[in-house]
Amino acid sequence: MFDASIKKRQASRPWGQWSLRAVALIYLSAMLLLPLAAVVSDGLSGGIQGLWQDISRPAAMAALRLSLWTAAVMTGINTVMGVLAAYVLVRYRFPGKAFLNALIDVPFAIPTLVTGLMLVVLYGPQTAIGGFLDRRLGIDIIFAPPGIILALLFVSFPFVVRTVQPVLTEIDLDQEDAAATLGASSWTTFRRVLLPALAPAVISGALLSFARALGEFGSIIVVAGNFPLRSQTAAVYVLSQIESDNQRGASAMSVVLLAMAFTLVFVVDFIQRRQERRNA
Amino acid sequence: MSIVIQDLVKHFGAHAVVDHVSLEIHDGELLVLLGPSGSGKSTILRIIAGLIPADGGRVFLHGRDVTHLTPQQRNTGFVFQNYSLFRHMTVAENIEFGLEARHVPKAQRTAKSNELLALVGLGGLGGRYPKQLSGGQQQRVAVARALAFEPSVLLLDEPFGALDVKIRAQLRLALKEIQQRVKVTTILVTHDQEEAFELGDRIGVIDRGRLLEVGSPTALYRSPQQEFVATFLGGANLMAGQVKEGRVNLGSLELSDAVSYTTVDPEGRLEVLFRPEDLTLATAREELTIPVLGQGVIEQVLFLGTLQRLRLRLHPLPNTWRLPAEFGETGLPIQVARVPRSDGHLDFQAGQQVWVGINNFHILPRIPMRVLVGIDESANAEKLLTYGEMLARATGGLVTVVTMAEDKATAEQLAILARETVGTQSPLMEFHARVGRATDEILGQAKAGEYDLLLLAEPRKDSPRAETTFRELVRRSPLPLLIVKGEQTTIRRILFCTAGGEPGKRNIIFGGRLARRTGAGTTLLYVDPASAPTFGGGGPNRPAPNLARPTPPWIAKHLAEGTLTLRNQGISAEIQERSGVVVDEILKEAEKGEHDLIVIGRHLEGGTARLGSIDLTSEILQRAPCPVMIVTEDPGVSI
Amino acid sequence: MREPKGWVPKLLIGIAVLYLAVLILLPVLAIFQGAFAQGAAVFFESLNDPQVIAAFWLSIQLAIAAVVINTIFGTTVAWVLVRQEFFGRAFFNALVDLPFVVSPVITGYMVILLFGRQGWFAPLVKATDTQIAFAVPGMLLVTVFVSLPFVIREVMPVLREIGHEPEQAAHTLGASSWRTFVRVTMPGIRWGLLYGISLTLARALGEFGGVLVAGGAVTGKTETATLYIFAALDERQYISAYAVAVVLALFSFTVLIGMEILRKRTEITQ
Repeated sequence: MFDASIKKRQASRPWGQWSLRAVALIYLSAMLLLPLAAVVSDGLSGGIQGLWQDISRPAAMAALRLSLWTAAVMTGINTVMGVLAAYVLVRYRFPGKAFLNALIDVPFAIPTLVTGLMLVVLYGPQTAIGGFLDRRLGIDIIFAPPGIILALLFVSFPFVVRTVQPVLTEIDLDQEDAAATLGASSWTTFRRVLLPALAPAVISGALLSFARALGEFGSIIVVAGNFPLRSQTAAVYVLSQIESDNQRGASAMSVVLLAMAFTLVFVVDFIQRRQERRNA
Repeated sequence: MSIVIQDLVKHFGAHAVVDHVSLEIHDGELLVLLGPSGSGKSTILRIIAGLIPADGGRVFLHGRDVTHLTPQQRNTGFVFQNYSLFRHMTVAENIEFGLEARHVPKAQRTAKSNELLALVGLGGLGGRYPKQLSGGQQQRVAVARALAFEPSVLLLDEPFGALDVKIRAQLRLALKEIQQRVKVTTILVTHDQEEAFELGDRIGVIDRGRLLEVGSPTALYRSPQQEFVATFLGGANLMAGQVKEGRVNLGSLELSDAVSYTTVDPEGRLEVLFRPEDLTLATAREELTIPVLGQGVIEQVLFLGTLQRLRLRLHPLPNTWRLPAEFGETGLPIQVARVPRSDGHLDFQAGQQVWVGINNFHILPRIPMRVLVGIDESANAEKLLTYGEMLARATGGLVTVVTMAEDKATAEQLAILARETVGTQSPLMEFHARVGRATDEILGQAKAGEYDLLLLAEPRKDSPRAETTFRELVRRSPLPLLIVKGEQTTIRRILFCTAGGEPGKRNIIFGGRLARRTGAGTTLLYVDPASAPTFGGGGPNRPAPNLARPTPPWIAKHLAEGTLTLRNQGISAEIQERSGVVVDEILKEAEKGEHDLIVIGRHLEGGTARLGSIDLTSEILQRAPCPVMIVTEDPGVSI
Repeated sequence: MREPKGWVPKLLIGIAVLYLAVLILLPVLAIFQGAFAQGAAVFFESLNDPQVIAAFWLSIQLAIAAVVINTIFGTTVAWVLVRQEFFGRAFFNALVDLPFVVSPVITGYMVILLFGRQGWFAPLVKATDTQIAFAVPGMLLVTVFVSLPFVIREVMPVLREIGHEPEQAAHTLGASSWRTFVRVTMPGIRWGLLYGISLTLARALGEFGGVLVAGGAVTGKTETATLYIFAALDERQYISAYAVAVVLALFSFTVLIGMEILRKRTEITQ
């Protein structure tokens, strides 16, 4: 009886719905899964051992290390500043707020290459600021890790703000007021009332910006150039391997980067779905 | 009939949201489906509109089977709870949308939308967008949109749910007027009983996916057939009175005339409904010229404008309970509604002692016994059906006949034969043909529906397969089982059998139910098996030493209690004690007392009672000259 | 929302404003200053170069093609992911976000691995005598890949919010699936869709790493606006690079302002 009812249900689903689903899934598979499969299979063609060999070369390791630590530093700064900016934008009224809010989306809209160019124009050795920092303080920005961090800060800034903002809007101001009437200080209120509610969004935003930073290319190639062992990040390393026709090196690094990106995306997806369930 | 739905079933997961619902709605009728939220009423509506596929059952609109048609092909007007107006279209465009989909020329569409706007009282607002209208206006647009293409039926899903109380009342009147003018067959779903009363030509009450009762508002309010319906529609005071020697009183209200097998439940109680307005209050007993329920204390007085609603607690009355029982409280809480006098005279206050008189009452019929009759190819169908019909008539019960075979044609053939045997005139019987293994089909039915008794024929001796099926049914049936054999077609004397070990209670309670309804006399038999070293499988010819021993005290107690239980229900009962080979003695007693039904208890598998052994059961089944009823002794289940 | 009272809120606002000014506003102003350092005439002159115009033209063509493809398929994907339930839906839903985090260089590299000389589809490419890797089709694939999530991610929440009922209502009124889509679903999601298209367009125009790898940056053939900037920097033609960058940035701002207007609009209609 149960089987029969299922068959009937399937029969009554119009063909149109089936074909739409087929189109959607084939499109996603062809556009996303197929290319991914190509890279992964090429990267793993020499087995895990081969992959390790290619990735453990000094230039590769240095590039990966550089990418990871600059991305980590950026994530730390942007998480704090992103939450702060989101809080200020949601909770307070002040002149120029609309402009500030629009400014946050600029990094999403501007091509990353142009971002890199902007930073070079601003902080390059020939410019006023860059020259000052270089000669007086001995800090290199362009072609050095600080430039990379600056570029990453710019391109990833919207992530945390834009994930935290809607959640913060949802949380009623009454909750903060309630905490205040219960005698909690502003800091305690933030720590005990707001932060727990915001945590999933903050973590999601931070992880996404970290993942995004690992793969960043356009701004970094301009700001940091392509100097192996010094300012070459993982993505730039992949480019240099492609240009020197070293497919194995390129594929190995690609697989490592993809694995990290995959993991992060699915972790974020998990956090968000758990949150949705909890709110439901 | 404009709308006919047959045996509609819908599951969400393992949960049955719509549970075998059948319904017929007349041309031009407005039927309200009323039920608490989550009762499945909206699901039924959506299945009719084709928005959700049903798992089973059929839908007919104006005689056309639309079960497998898309919503587009059904031509139903549907009004959604939150209207689902197209926000980007004007009111007129919304209304014309259905006509546009039917390729009606623009001029006609405009004419029609103007006509409908006038009908719903929104003339001239066609150019507005939905968000520019109030909630009530939007609702009227939704109705107009659903009516524009002259649908065959109109379906409304909680159409007033999103509106505030005052507008709701206005729109109800308007809707009723429109429906009567357009004369479109309508189903309206709501959880609001006031709405149901005001709008419905008939009301169908739904609870947990089952359609409990359908009837006119007055009929359902004044004489509901079920507790749920009584309590869901309006305020209800439900009380039960104990029948003692055929007499029952609630206060000075004499209800003995109403005592019959259709009104008294297995515990011998009669259930009575008083509406709050059926009761009259007085400060002194003498003021009441009507039957007096009793005296009580007013606990709360609520002023509701035209009405005054009082909650009071009656002092305990003999042999009377409130339903559902209130745990740990004494007295009988009741609700009373009265029209306060405009001069404020005779107003009551909380704490006051008052007398309560009864103007009106309704006795709830108890749910009749439902019997399931299983027929397969091997059974002697004719005798079984005759017996089933006798049971149905005697108990006022409903009989469901299931015919089973391995193939469809045979099963249907059997059903036709069964129908012919009974004669089509019996309204108490319904017939189903099922294909599959007899055991599974019967047990499936026994679990799916709510039946009280399973009726089977003795298997033919020449069919080993029938024998196996039969044994399995006897072993696994969750229902009491009555096996028809011998020539008897009446129940006049029932023999209850008890042997050593733990005696059953359920067989007496359940058998008593049958006895009371058929007017049969009963005998409680105890056979002392001690003198027979083995019994049951031990064979019938073992000599029984005639050694009389005292009956164990727990057996004596059980027999005494059993007779009392039966006599309390007005059934004559006597005790017989015998000793010897159990089966032999039972059969001897049956013959001697001219019993025409033997009742034995059977413990569920794993039970310990010795009489419960299958071997004994099957031996009695084989040798008994009359029908045998086997009652499962499941301590977890009470009847 | 409230007026900032006391020094803590003011400090917080101050920090946020300062951070955004230094991080985002200052660089933006710097490039404008750089582009116009030698006057407006030089700026416009450098834009009037045939190579620059060709590069812009290619960028625009790629972006429009990507928008068309991702609008059609993105809407379909969004509808299927929201309205249908099937095994693997959660997986595909998560998959959609992947282009956000896959490095553009790797995206370009994928095209080479699939369609390059030793790629998976090399025989097919050879048989049909088409050039995909190191040519415009490969660049298009990259552009479609990187801009794939936007339409889907903007349309999905709108579809979810509208709910199934308007579509069901249309069905009960007798509208076919196609009519329902055109007359009911589309108008419902139009602002969200437009928003997604804007983002797709901006992302597609600004793509750099992927088209660099997949297209090979051949002047006059596979050189987009971003690739032109990169080449101009290499050749130390700074003003020209800045000028093209400024045009791209201006375009981004236009899109941004357009989106802000759209957002206001969607907020009002909801």
